[in-house]
Amino acid sequence: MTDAAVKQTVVVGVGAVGCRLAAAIRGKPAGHRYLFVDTDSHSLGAHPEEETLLIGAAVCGGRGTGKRPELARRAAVEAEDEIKQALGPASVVVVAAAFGGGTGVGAGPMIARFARELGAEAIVGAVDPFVFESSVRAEYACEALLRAGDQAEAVVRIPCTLLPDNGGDGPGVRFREAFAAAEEHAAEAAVALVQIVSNPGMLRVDFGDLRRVLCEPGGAVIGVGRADGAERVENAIRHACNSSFLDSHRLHAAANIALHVAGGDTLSLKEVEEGARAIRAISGADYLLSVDVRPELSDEVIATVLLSGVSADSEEARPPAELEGPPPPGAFVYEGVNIDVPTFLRRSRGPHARLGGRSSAHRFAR
Amino acid sequence: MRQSSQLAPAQRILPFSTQAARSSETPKLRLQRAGPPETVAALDIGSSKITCVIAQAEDDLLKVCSLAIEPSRGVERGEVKDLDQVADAARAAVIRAQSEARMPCDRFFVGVAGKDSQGRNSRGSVMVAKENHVITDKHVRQALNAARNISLPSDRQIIDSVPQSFAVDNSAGIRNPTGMTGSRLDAEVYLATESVNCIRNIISCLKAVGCRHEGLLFEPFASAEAVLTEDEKDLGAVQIDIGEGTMDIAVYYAGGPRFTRVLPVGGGHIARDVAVGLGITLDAARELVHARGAAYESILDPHEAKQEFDVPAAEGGEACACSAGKLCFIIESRVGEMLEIARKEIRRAGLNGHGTRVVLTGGTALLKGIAKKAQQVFGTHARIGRPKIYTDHPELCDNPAYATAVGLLVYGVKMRRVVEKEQRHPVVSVAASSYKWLREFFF
Repeated sequence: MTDAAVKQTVVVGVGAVGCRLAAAIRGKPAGHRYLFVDTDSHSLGAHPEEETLLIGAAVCGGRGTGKRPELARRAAVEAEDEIKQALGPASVVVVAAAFGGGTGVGAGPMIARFARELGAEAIVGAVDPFVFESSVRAEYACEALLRAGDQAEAVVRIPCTLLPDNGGDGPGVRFREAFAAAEEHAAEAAVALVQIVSNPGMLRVDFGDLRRVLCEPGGAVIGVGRADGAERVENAIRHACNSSFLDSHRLHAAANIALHVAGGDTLSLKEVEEGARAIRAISGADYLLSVDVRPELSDEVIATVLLSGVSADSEEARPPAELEGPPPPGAFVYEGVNIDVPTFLRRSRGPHARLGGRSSAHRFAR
Repeated sequence: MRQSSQLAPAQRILPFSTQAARSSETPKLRLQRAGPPETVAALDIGSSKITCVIAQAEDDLLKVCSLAIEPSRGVERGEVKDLDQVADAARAAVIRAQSEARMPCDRFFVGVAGKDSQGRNSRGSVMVAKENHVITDKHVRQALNAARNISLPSDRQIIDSVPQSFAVDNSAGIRNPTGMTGSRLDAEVYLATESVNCIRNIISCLKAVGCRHEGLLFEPFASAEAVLTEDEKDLGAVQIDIGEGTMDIAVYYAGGPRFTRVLPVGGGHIARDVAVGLGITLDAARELVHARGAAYESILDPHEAKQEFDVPAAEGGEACACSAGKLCFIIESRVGEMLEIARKEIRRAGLNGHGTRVVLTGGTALLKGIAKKAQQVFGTHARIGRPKIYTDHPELCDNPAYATAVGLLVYGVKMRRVVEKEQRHPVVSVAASSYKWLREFFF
């Protein structure tokens, strides 16, 4: 891929976690600009060498929002001109923000909107809160996902789980290690996301195709797998699909799948075919395949799987057969919803379910 | 009964009632004359249970003599679906209550609240034509009757009416206009209407049981009599009576009801959700909700919430393990939704700011943490409404499940006073002629 084909991309870290994530991936996908936005001057001070933008000095006084998204939203609106100026003439803006706090939830979607107003394609990479955080965080995340879906071209949820696959479970696992593993996992997903949206790859997938996959209500979920050696493409796809988050969502229930395979010069056509066959074996849904050759990967293959539309038909959320279909005569239908169907089942099919592991519905399913 | 037999049949049928009592008498239950205790009986036909209560009313005291509870059959969402089954259960309850009270009693105040119940505000006016322009009780009753004289579809009927306030000439917000001077009196009345078929079904059941109704009372009003304080009615309160099959919402403000709604969702839905969620029988689910249920996760001890216990499975299944947290999640989802629906209904009626307090009553109000959940949903104070009554029956005392039954007694006595008063000073009006029409219609 030539440099000209790589779109001018700005990665914007919003809030403390978003900035940390942006710092973690800085330089990995080369050739992009990085912008760090926060209401907290101390948080921005941790990135002295980066291009930073303090917003909401009047609203927050250089401090954090205290988990109040509304403050961050106001801060972003106040700083609209500065943000637009800082974004510059980018063609793709990737907003990395944690969707469980204040600044990311409030300012993240607004920055995506400003980017779109400038004519850029805006994608929000939303880092989910941890499972053990309060349900209020999950509510924030749910609300922010819906809002971000309105403001951005697409929303991709970046899992941040402490589950066995990324070393988070078990009695002997230390929190620091699990946390680092989760952070690495999130950074890897963010890198893959930036790569995909900024570099369409050899088997070209344009942004319109990608948007079709990503713009499902509730956003898409990303999983990344790496492998080398024999059957490396298949194994990488399997790792991506078996990352705890995607597994819990039952890949086979997804409505849309996008598969991105990146390998070195040695990547063969047969391997790509086998990878495509592996996806077909897992899911009958329509899938989008893009392939990228990056010489620096040499023997390694990175597979990125993006899923969307998973929650509505996920097996966990599926109500018993007798509860499906049109409401029976005499059922209490309120605002178009059959209230006689158990609430927890209905909600597990709603936007809450799209929060995956940290939604209340999902907690129940577990 | 002595008191009942004194009432003309028309007045027994139609509780076009209580307004004069509310307007001209003290709000608390108070019998106006000394004399031998009088008997008052109430029959609450609910979706989960049929409650029959017989009480003696004497001076300021209402003492329950007997209480009989029968599991309800043939009632769904507050409406009679199988006349024979309902009649059998009601008969059993009535016979038991009568034998326990050791007194015959064949006239009951019966509660009505089906999903077709509707409420509306109405206004009636009367000109005060006397030379001195002094408003008398007769003018008040005429104005109230005029407010009740509305045109309704042929399948609907007024079951209850409560005055909200009066206006004398241009001076509004008057509670008791009697004795004031003015040339025009307006009465604001809240009317509750129900489908004629629903009322006929209840009357048919009573006939099958072998008793009659002294009055049909709108259940949200009855519950409010039992659990709401006068302060709450004045300052504004949202009463939510969550029974097995229905949720009755009543908003009181400035002393009178402003909004009522009966929705076909209730405690039965909670048990069904638990049965579906855990794969257990409905009876087991009911017991589980009763024994371990909670409607607000934060009140659970974090350690206890995770501890699992076995619940008996449905036929052929394996016993499943459940934790208090999981059970609470199912219940909280449903209760939260029900309260959210109630909040939306109140907001739609434009009464968002009128409920300074939420009062929960009905059997579902026994759920642990439900007041805290209501507090969260409504963002205001919430409490459990427990009926206060003098009784030897410990299960009746302070138990929100019997708020309607107790309310029917209290409200019934008030209504009886009004009817007695109207008998002493009859008002010939359009409403009176409709009494006659209804008497012919039903008997």
